[in-house]
Amino acid sequence: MTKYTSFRMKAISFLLDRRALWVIAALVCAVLVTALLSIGLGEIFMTPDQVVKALFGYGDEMNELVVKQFRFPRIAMAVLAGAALAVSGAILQGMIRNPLASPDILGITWGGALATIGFLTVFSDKANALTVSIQWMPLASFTGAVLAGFLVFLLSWKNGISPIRLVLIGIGLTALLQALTTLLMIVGPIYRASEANIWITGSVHGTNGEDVLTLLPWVVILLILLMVYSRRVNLQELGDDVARGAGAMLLKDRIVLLLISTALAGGAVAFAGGVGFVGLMAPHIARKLVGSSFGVLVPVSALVGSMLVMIADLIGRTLFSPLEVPAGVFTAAIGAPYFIYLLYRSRNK
Amino acid sequence: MYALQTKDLTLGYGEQTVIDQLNLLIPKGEMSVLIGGNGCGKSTLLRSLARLLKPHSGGIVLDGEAISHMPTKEIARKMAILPQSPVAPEGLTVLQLVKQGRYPYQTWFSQWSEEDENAVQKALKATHMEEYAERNVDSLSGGQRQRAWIALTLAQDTDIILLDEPTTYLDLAHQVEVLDLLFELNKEDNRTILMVLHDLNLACRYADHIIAVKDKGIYDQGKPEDIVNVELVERVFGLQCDIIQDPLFGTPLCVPHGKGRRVHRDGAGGV
Repeated sequence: MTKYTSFRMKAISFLLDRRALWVIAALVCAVLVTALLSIGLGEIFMTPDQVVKALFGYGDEMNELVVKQFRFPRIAMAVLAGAALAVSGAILQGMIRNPLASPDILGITWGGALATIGFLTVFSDKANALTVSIQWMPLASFTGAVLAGFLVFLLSWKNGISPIRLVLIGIGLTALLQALTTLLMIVGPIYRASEANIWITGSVHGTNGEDVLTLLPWVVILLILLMVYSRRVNLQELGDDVARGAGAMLLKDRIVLLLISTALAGGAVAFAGGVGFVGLMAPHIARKLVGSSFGVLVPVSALVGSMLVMIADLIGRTLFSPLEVPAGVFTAAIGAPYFIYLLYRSRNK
Repeated sequence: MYALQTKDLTLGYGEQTVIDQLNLLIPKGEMSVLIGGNGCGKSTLLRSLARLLKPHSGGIVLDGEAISHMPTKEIARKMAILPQSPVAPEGLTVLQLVKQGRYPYQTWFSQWSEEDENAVQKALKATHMEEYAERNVDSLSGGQRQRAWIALTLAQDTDIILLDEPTTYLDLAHQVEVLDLLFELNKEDNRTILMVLHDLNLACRYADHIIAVKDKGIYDQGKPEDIVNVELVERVFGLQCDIIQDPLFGTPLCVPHGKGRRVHRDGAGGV
């Protein structure tokens, strides 16, 4: 065995892909370095050592305020949302056995969008002020995203879940949700419409530390649960008959995996909005780096997703400064051509 | 002794019945082959034996126990199935593929025990795939790829192996290569093998036991040399033919009638 290392400790044993471990280590470093640089860049420029000082409370007051109040939570959110969306996509692509599947297609993002704009419309008074705290908005978005996910799941149920039916119903429901969202935006006040538009595009602007602390345990727990489930995804990727022949309980596994995928995407969408194409691109890039074995695909997808959203956010807030462009604009700007490239490639296969 | 047994098994899709009230015994330690025309239900039967298809009525008995009452992982430790033309995901290595066969023995914290490693090594060795262990499955030839999939079923370490047309899409040399491998597994490891084959002549050569499926049931079964004759081929496949002896193996060889070129050799005259 040259590519793999066996890890055994009493009853615990795993087969590790050495190359993948190096890739993960390299990506962790890349994410940390990018985060450090990204915190330093902006209206107020800071060198990396100033950033580190500010983070640990030894910097000057102004720097500390900027880092702790604004940039660090924002970048942490980019990392978390990117990871959650990427892994959600990785699950769907593995389960549906189609590299074009993603949470955007399954209605999850637009379920969140509809709920968000519904929240903004319903709880606005005549003066366009919110009648409840804006803090409840993530909960509304999350609920919408998860409900949409479940609806797709329920509608495609017929003696079990067929992946292709899941995709078709997902696309149909997405169209419906989009239409309803547009309707609400037109009917509602203009001011709300522009706010909703930023949400739909996806932005980590205005994240506070509390948001990060809410999403962090959610993502971490789901990722751990998923790693436990990873060998089942590997088996499912060989096809239904092979998986069932080897003793998999496909239905139960699919329900759990769908739950994890929806919960991850819903969490990301709740705080960062509909950052598009990350769930499509990141798992794809990850597969190019480490192959399709799910145990390594999950961490690598997560790291790639974090990088994508972080870089998109960095470009969005520095390139057109003082104008803020939502991160979702840039993920879509890379994502849409990438999607077309994937379609083009699959056509030529 | 019987490895598998069906009791009044009725199979179908929706309203349509494909197999009706079938009682079938699959002998233990032998190589059995299901033959029959297209759409006669032989693949359906094989899939239901492997619990991939729920019967309309009746049941299947494995080792004296009804499979409908057995946990699916326990079945997977006794019986493996290789479906027709399986597809591996992009970028998967042979080792990663074969390792999946250990699923019914693993838990979430024990995913690569010494037994797992030994079973996978044995499977790779038996299929002559050791040197390809770290190659990507997509980069292999058709015959190698099929051997990798067979290795996956071997890693499952079961007494019974079911295969649905393991030679489809393979050229003749690779067909013989795969069947030779299965023959070895049967004769040397004493594993029960049941498969669907399209090529009647290869079936007659390799099978101890042939089961001819026709009209929602079994037309005839037994040793190829006892049952394969002109009448069987006509009834089961609707084909006129001559049955001669295979000059190398002595097993029945079916020479179909029909049209074709005739070649006159050495002045032997016309037919």
